Amino acid sequence: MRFRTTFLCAAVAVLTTALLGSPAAAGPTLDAVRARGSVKCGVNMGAVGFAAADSAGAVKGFDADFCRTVAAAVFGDASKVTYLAITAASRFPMLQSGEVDLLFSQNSLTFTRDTALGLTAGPVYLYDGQGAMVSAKSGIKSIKDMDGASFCLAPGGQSELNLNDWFNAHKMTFKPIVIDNSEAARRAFFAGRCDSYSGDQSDLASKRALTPNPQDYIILPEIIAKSPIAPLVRQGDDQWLEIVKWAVYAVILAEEHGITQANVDDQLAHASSPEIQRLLGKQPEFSKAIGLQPDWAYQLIKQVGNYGEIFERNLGKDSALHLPRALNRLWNDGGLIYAPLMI
Amino acid sequence: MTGGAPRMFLGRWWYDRRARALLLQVAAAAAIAAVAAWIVETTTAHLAERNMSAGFGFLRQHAGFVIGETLIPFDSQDSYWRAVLVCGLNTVFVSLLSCVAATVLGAVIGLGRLAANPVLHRLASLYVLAFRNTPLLLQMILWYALLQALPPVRQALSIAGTIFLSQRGLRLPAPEAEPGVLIAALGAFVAIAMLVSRVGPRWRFPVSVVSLLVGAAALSSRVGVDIPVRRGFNFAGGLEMTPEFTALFAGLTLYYAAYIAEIVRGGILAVPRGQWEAARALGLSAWHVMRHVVVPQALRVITPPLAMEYVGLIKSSSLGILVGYPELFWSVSAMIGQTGHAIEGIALLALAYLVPSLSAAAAMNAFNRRLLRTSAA
Repeated sequence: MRFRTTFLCAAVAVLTTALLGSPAAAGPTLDAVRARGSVKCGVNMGAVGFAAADSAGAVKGFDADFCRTVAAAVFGDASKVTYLAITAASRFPMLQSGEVDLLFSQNSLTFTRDTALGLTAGPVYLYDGQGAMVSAKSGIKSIKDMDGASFCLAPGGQSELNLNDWFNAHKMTFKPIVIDNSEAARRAFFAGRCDSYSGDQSDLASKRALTPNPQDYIILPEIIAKSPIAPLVRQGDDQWLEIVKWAVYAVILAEEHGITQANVDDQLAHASSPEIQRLLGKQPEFSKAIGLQPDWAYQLIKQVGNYGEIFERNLGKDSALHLPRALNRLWNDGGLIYAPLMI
Repeated sequence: MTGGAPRMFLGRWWYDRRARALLLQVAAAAAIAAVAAWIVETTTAHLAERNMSAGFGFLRQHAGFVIGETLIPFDSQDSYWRAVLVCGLNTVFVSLLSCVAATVLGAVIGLGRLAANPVLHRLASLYVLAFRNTPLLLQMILWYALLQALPPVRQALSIAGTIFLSQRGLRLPAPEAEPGVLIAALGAFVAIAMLVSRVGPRWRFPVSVVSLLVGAAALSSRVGVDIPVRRGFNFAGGLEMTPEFTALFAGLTLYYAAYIAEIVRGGILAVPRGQWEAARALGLSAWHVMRHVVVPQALRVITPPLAMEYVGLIKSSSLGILVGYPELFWSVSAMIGQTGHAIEGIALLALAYLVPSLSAAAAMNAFNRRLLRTSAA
């Protein structure tokens, strides 16, 4: 029922704000966030490795950490985040209506999402691809062996479209089972209802990490479609978009320059590189151009870490997901993670 | 004096009851139209301000997704419009089947609650207690989870190699015949029924058995049976009942049967004791008492609340989205997820649920009127 309620609430919220005009449309998002004292961040709550409550009730994960970088940049305090759980159907209406300030919710960036919805995207912060997970017992080695197979799918996303395109291109058929409740869809797959679960590989790893016997399931190596994961904000507030963009860039620049959560104070005190000095706010007039405190980047690195630290802690070798960095290595290490110059 | 005539004219109108009623109705209609226009106007303006497009044009775009179970063909190249139609038909299909099944089951349980046999009576009461007092969604998810606990498809339970039951659902052999044969069979069946109704009561049974046997023998050479076979990942052929459909169908049927049972019981109890006693005093058998005296009177009480339950059932079929059955809400939700047209989608959904709900209400009202007419005559 919770899903239906949030969905309807979000729809009603869109309607009412469309009727009355929301405060978010009146002034920049930053003013609203400051007045409220926290960043409202829409996350896919319960996705292990992305945003899930730990045993102490604190929300942890890759997406949660990126929400925290924005809070650290705005307030100098990474803890000033209010996490709002989204569903596939409610996420965009929630952002459109101003119920959340931004989405870090495993969203693939698509043309429609960047244009038609009144939303716009920040930088890609995870280069992922859609794949398929099968049970190890099935003996399936490739999606090409799966003509006529049934696929459990998460609803509302592009994964259905990608899978359909791929099967059409290979002149094969499949039977989709789309349950509009990601928890139920996950359970149905692990109970054996479907031959495969298809989704972003990082999400498959996240779902697999929740099962008692992760080794019983394999994620097939094939990627049927690319999946660039990016944050979304509302169109028409460029300043807020810039803050979100540079929060992501700052963690990338930090890794590029070898700045870590542990050594950021040392770097601030001793680094001679002008770019590091500019990044960490040693030239206040320069750093202030974004409309935040000069030490915004220092705060987010100090409190959340650099890109590599965020990745390894939540998705990589220090996590239950054990994902390789793959495309998400830095550009100078053979990956795609790349940030503009801090000049 | 010059202003007197128009005032008198207006005054006369104002004191005429019919004219005043008309005036007030026109004013009320105009006010409602103005509010509606204001809502549409401001909504479109604010949507445009947010760079969100409005309108139903997106319904013509390719849906791009495929639908797991359909009654009419659907391809990913078809439009959103057709996707909504296909899933709307699924809603009608599951609702109709559940309405029939819930009515039959509800009548049986309702009569069970009135039975003198204590075991029957208690069982029926327990059923009503359990199914009426737990949320429908919970029941549906329970059925779905139980269906997942069946053996995997490779170890499917099988009856004589023709019926298979597994996690992937139930597979039954399906009759296979050309449409002409089916129509002929239907015609023959109607003819037999008419023949049987004409003959005397003593001949009814033998005549119906013989004619049905002759009919079946004549048809058997023209009707094939499509027996499900194991192929690839699942079974192919035959009639399929997926776990998603079964969970929704069972959930709706069992839940609404509990309500219908109480309506049936109430309707029968509403027939005055004197009617029962008078019918028995005439020497009518128990069946005839029910058939000719109690049920016709009870139906008048039962019909209106029954119509409400049917309407409720149709609306509750939207819970199918949570067990993965592609019904109306499922398709609109998928459409909103892909296109972001939430307002249009919800409006379409509201209209789409009004149609079957209002037609169910209208059909039951017509039936009710006919019942009142016949019982008055």
